[in-house]
Amino acid sequence: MIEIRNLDFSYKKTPVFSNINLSFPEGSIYGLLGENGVGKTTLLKLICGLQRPTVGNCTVDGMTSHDRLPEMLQHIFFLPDEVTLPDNATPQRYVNELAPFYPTFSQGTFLHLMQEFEVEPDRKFREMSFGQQKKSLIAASLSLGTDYILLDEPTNGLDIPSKSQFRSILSKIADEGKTIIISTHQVKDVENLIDPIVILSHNAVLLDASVQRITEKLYFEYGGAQRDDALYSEMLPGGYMNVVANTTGEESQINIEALFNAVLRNKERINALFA
Amino acid sequence: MSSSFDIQRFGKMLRHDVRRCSPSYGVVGPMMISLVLFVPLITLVHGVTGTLAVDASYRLSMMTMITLFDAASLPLQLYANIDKKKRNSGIYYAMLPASKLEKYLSIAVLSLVVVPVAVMAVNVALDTLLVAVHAPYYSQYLWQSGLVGWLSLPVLVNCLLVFVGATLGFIFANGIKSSGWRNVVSFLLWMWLVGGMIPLVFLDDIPYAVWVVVAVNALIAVLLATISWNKMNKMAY
Repeated sequence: MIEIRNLDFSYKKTPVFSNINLSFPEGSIYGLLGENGVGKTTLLKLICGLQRPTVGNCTVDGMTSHDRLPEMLQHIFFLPDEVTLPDNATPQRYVNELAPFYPTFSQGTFLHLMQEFEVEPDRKFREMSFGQQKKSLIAASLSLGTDYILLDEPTNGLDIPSKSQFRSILSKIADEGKTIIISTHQVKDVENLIDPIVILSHNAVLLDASVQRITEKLYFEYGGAQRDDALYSEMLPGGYMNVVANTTGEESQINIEALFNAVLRNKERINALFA
Repeated sequence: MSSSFDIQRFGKMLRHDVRRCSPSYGVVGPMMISLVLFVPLITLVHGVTGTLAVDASYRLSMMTMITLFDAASLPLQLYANIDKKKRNSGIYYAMLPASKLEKYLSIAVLSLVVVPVAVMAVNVALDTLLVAVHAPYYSQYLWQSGLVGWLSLPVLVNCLLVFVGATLGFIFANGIKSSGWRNVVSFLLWMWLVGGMIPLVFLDDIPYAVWVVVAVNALIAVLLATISWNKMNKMAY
């Protein structure tokens, strides 16, 4: 389990987080959402020990992240948004270099994922498009078999079919009990995939709740008129979509973009609703 | 299994780094050029002009120098991105499941032992081949001569100290965030690597002076080893 307790972090004099608390139990796909620059990538770096908190701490299976103990690193893999790849290297060679460090690596899984993504494992990275490189790296990350997989903007550069493949592959991996944390601002790409949802704002965590809890507290109404009591309204073909406090207990289908906007615009009301 | 050092993990780290010393990482280019061209070039120039005897001790001395320069520059080439934020290039290395000590020792052993031995072995093999093929240009095989030649004991010790210090210093230089300062430190280390080996050639007849220079270089080497380890230990991204 990943736990963040009373964590403060700042880049020199610019505060990024102030006294945040989060926990990521095993076996879910967490969506880490937020506007640009709120610290989504920084939070991932803090989790895997690449940044040291100013105050508080972050632990992975009880081990302090910034100690970067080999025992911890063996269980966690971080795929940044951009990766520098050696020109002549191939995806197969990339995993060959990593595999000895990860006893849980599966060559079969790697080849299967590469096949699903329709990328040749022995093709040089420099001959690939950005999207193909990204798919290769995702396949490599998921085949290492680590308990925790941190993906920063994984759908950047993926075409539409690849995004669907990505969602389907990740669902299968999560079913195997892995914990996946996806940081993204492209919320549509991970809709129906992420649960729980964590929304970050400057210095704070605005929302940290499962989809079930969100639908208990909020109601997503489609196709009616604009409501005065709506936390967020958006004109769609066929009428308005309103996000309102759920007073009836009726279930509805979450729209992540609308949720995101509702949370950002009504921080205090959301806090009160989810308290 | 210790968190800070485990021989199996260290072995994996070293094998990983050795694999990365391949042409696809752009690391071996300068080495291969100096390896392949150096001995034939010297042979050609001196053999054709006849200005200098290409004797075994001279060839071995030059091979040693070339090997040390090549190996010392390895950290700058292989680990250039070890602490770089640009395109997250340092993250790959930082996230490898090995301790900081294992990573540091892997760089050190690769640069100070594995590469010099390999480069020297290829040099000697190439030299032997050339002697066999072009015997008139050479006086003898390497092993038929007093191998140390003009490299006396203090000169050899001094060369090794400067080599070890500069190599570890280059590891430290890679960890400097400011590219300006990184260039300045790298330049100074190159100057030391080149200049640090020269004085003893001229001081060879003054025993006290020789050992003073060796002692000063030993101090610098220890200092560089210490600060490079500290830098590696405290790297942040």
